[in-house]
Amino acid sequence: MNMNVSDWFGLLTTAFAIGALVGSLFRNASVKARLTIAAIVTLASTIPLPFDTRPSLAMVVYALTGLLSVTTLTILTCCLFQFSVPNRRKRIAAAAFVTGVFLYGGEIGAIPFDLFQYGYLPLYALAFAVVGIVLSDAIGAVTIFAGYVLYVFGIYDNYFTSMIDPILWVAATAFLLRSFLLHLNNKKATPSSVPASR
Amino acid sequence: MKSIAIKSGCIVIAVVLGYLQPQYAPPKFYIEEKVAQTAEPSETSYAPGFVDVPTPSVHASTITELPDRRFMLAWFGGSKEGAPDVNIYSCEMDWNGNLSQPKVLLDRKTLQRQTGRYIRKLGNPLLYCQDGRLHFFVVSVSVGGWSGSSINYACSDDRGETWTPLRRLKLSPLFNVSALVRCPPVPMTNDCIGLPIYHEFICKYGEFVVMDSHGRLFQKTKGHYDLRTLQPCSAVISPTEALVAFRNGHENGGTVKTAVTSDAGQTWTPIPDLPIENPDSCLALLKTDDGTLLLVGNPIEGRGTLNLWKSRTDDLQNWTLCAALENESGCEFSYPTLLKDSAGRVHLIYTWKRKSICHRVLSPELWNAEQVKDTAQSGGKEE
Repeated sequence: MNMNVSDWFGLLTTAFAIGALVGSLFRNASVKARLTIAAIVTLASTIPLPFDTRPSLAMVVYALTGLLSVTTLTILTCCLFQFSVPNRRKRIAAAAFVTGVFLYGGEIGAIPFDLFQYGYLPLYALAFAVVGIVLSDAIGAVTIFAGYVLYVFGIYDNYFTSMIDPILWVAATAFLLRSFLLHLNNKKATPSSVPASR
Repeated sequence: MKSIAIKSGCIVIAVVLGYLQPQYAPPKFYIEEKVAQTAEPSETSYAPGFVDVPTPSVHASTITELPDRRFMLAWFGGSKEGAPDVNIYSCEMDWNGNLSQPKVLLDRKTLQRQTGRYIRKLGNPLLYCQDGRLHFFVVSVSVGGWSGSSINYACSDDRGETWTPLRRLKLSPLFNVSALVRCPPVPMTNDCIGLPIYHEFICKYGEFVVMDSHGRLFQKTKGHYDLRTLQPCSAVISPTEALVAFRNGHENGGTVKTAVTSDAGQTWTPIPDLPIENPDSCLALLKTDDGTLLLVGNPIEGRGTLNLWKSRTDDLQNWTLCAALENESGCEFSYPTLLKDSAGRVHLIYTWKRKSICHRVLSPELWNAEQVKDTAQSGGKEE
């Protein structure tokens, strides 16, 4: 198939993401079973569908989502292997939320600052990557590094697209909102649960 | 300790990779040297020519000059705009304006196969030749209307015989949708191209993208703060200065929106609207060898009138109507594209009633003469 490397990467990672998402839904299954399910779904998502130009499910999803970020792929891989560090979730979500506000807000014209344009410039991309590596833990550093390497080799046109995508931003926003609401509920519940001292 | 070692290793390798990567030096606009007039006016036919199109409906034509003094045209055609059977067609034209038979340049299946994405419909094509390399941009939609568009890119070093695989340019962080292209790029130094693009998702606004001749993107800047401006067309004035005119996307119409740059496209500053009506229709802008700015567009709603205006680069607020190139109510003469060829001749192509693509070489008398000429009577095609 006459396809460029970036789109090969995008199509394969989209197929993997579909498989990983379905596989990680089976929470009570063993890692081996989840991997098997993920592999089967990944392969199935590349089978042509019987409509219009016979695209596969992966092609349709890839057309909708575009290249998924390395961060999303890392999180999906962690979900598949049920590898999670709870303390890290809020930090990742907060970083993704703030970056997304500037990226997407600037894109739709809601804020007069276009952060996205700096992601095309190699020197800025290097600076963003180094700061990100310094501020994150080991897994985060490797993820940011991998995103930067893929940007350098032209898989991602823009450095920010290797770090964040709208799906990650929506998930991060939902996670932060849920955490905030839980925090409010706990605050409300705490005074009434303490018996009066008088 | 282990974490510090991993992070240090990542930083060292990233810095080395960053150092080895070609750095971006902001290019300037490339000004071609004034060429000798190699085509005498008597040799040039100013009569309109029409492409013999194989489809019921055509639109959004583009033209570029190839290195061997031939021209390549492209447009989209099918049963109607946005239909599944719309393909990108192209044909060649020789120096004297003789057109070859159109052939399919791209269909949906080919684009789907090359980009790995489902493609629902095809849109505006754009051809541009610089330093012997032919660049091809095409708008595609996977979901929704034109606001869900993306720009795909390929290039050819053999006049379009073979192409690199098409790939989708990443121009938006938001699912990479709503990037469209319509008007021709401008040449830049450092082997770069300045490509005017626009967005249509939620807001409509133009942007200026700088990419190298291999399609690597380096810069993207907003062209106008008015979020109802689209289809930017540009004219280079000097190595650092350029004018961009936008289609006015306001629902109640308005005048031509403009912006200028004085740092070769790194920033754009809106200037007062041109005193030309623009009821949401595409424009074409060009600077001739003698410094005249030419603008072609539809001043009346319905796109039945196609006018040519002129101005000077040192007086952007005064525009003179030179000619009504087409004037027939109830018909559509739209989406003009201007091209200055290597002999300095000015070519104009546009959608002719959605039934054909009309090509004209504009006579310099049109903008050198003082009085307005109505050439519409001689510009019609016999049906």
